[in-house]
Amino acid sequence: MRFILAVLSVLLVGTLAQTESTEDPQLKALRIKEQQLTQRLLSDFPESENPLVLLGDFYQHRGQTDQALKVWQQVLEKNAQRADVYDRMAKVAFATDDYETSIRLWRTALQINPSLPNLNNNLARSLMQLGQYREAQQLLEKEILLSGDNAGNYLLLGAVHLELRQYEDGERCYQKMLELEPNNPHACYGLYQVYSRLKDREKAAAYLKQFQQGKSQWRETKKETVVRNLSQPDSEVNFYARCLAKLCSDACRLYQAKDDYQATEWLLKQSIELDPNSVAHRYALMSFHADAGHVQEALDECRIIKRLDPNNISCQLNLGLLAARLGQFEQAEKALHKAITMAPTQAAGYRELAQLYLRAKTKQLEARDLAAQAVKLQPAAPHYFLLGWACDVTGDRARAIEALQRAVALDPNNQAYQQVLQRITAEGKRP
Amino acid sequence: MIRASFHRSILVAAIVLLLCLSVAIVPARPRHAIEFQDVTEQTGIDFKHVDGSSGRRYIVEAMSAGLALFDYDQDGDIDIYLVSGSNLRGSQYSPPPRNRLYRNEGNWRFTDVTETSGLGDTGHGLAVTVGDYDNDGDHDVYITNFGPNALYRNNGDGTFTNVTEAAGVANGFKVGAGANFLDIEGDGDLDLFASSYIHFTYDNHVLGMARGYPAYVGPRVYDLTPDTLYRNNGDGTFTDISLASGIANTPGSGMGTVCADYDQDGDTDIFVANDNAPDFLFANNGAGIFTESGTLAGIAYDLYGNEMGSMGVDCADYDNDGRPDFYVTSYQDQMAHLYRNIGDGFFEDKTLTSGAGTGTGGNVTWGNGFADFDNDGDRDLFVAVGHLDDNVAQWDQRTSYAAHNLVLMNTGNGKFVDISQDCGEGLKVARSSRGCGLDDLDNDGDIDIVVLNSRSEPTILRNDSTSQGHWLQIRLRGTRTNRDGIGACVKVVAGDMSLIDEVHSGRGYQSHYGMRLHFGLGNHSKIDRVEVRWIGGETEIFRNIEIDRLITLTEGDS
Repeated sequence: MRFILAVLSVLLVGTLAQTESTEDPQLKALRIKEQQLTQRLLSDFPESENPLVLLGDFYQHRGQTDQALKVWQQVLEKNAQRADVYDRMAKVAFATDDYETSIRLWRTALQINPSLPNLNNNLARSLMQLGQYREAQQLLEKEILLSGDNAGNYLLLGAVHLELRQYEDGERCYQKMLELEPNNPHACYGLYQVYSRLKDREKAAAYLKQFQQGKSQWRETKKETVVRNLSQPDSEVNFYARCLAKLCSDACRLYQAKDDYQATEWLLKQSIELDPNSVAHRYALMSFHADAGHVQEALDECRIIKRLDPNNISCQLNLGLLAARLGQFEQAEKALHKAITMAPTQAAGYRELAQLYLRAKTKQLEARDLAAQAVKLQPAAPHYFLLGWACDVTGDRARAIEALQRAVALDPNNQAYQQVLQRITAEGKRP
Repeated sequence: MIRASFHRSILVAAIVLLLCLSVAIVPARPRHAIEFQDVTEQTGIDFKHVDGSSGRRYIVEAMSAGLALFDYDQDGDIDIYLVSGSNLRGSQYSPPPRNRLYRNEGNWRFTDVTETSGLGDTGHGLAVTVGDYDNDGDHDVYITNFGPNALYRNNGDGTFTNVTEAAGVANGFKVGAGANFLDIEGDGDLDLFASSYIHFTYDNHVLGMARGYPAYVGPRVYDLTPDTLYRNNGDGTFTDISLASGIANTPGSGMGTVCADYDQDGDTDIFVANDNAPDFLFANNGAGIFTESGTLAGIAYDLYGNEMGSMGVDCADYDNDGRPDFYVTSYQDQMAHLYRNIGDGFFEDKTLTSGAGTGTGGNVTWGNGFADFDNDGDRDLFVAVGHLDDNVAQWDQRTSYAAHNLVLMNTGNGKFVDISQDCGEGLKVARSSRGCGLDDLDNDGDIDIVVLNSRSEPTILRNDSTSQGHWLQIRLRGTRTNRDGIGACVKVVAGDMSLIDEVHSGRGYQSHYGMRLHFGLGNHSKIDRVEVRWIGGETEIFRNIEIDRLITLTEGDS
């Protein structure tokens, strides 16, 4: 610990030196805030390496990769079993073209914690950079088995097959990508390459056309994004503040884990003070208030999010849910209606409005129609359960039982579904 | 006395022991046959590149510039022409920057002949190319600028005359990029291709920001521009045929360019490396009508269908299978790409399997070139490296403004190995490099390197490789076809070895070099034949060729 503090003090001295040389009072204030936050984190969690991991993330976010690596190295000296830290360091090595190091680090991370997401495919990417396709192929196949269908993994595996001249296998990967993401331009390009090699000119031409259309749209969107970002130029102060805000937001999870709600709230508010336009930080504070039962504060925060991001469907739903919790039925109903208007093809709005009516024991027939629409859009267990509930309260027991049976079939371990099904079935058998 | 002597012996023994131990402990770095020494200082070249910067970060600052290696005075050795930026709005460099020509005096001494030659163009220079457009037996020079381009006719007496206006090749007021002389329809005179970058003016300038720091903006912000093709009228003037030829149908963001007969159908095609846009491969139908075929050929994107921030491009047959391959440098976080020609007009991305991308992903890569540095019979790669932003260390410590250039050695089995750390002191130099040129500056049979570094002196690297491989250099002289043999394809057959190359005007990153074709022969001490397919002409076979020398093959002399 003493050693770690010594290393950090070296980093802090560097920061202080910068502080003295800069004349910008805003930057100076941020540096002081950074020092205070760092010291607080280290003193509040003297035995944990987690604050150091977050500090490393902070440095990395700011582009100070050398400092990040130093701090993460300290973490590993304290706890050599941190697979997530090996993963972080491997990503840096990959980005600096040092594929041998990234392979070594990802192999270590895999040995420690094979269930950490994306280790297999990241290792596969590194191996591919060195032309080691056979092992990359095995890893990607394993990853697909472990994490299910994912277009990104099929893209990598398709490339491996192309390089190994296994064109039929490549074709299967790219077709699978198109199943998952229709019109994905990368899949179309892969198929173009496959069919070109297989001399199937007709199919090659068709996918080439599809690829070029997709790329053309992508390019227009990309240009719009670039121009939009440039129209809101960043500054050193803003960027620094945003990085610090993220550190606060990340650090609050450490305090949350030890049920220190005061510190959690303080950090969440700090993150918003530093980065007031961040929807993510405000969302975190809203959730914190909602979980703590401070529903009015949560609703106030939600309204600010709505102003910042008017098209945010999740925010719109929360406006309704929070209003409902405060007993503001009309406001809740209005907000949820708007959520449906905003995203008519998403089940969530229909679901939440149905629940509002069912809980309020009003407009139950409407609730049944809304639940049916949710099922139609997303035939998931909770939606069938909701439909069963709505049908039950509107007297359509047969349809209720049918819906609940579907819910149980889709989620057989859910006790609540089974109990409700049993109750309704039993009630149906009474004379 | 005895005691002192004894102590001395003990001390010597200890030192010897320590030295032995240090040899045993420190792993010996592998030495390679390829070795370069930095001889910049002894050349007397005092050029310092100016990018016109004044803190405003105009995109055209970072793009400057390329260089040309050619024998301007026909005295038998290769001279150096270095392109500079100029005073852009807001900058006041004094004296005003200009391009500089250095005459090779032999023994690695160069004399500044800019003034007497008249080749000190003062435009904001980006690219340069060389060719004998008037077929009078000497090399003329075309320069692309931010602003009007410039054509300088070689008067044959060591001086040049600016004939841009009369020739009609100024190309308006654009951001110039790679340029090439080529004979598009095989009529015996050289036409001119001039690529353009993006539509930038002082008025639409945008300052980029990276992590809160000012940075050069990428090209996506600006509109793309079509490239330009001029047909040589044969009377010293040119006609813009960009639309009629099909070249102007597809606007791009051109950077480096190279012309080559990629489909080996007897005419010269054009490759344009586009920055943040798919690369172009303009396929020539033989009559000077072009169809953009990059995507179709599998060379416009990487393996995954991503467009690259392409910078420079060179073309050569790296695997000696008789087909020209392409190597394209690119932006940070993207590897430079090797596209292997698999025949029938198609390419496959061999970047990863070949190792040709090794060491290139961590920074921005620019100038590049294939050359057989160790004369072992296969072509190695040189890559010039350096970031755009001089302040990049403030916001991205993964990379740096000044960087080491790269040498990737061809191992002969289709693979490249990064030997940059182990091929001499010359590769220890760290600058922010842009264009480069590969040529035999001291006529000793191996290929030397000149690198143009942004805001800095150039780097001149002498090839001190220990290889004993034989070699042959060929200068072509067209008589019925263009005088420099530009576009002519040459095949050298020596026993079981068969090597091909083509005479290019303009290549790499906005540069020109290698007009004398260089073939490393390894231990082959006898050449069976040399075949030359002149562009727009016949194929001739030359025999009784001596090795380890520069020869001139004249059209019709076989």
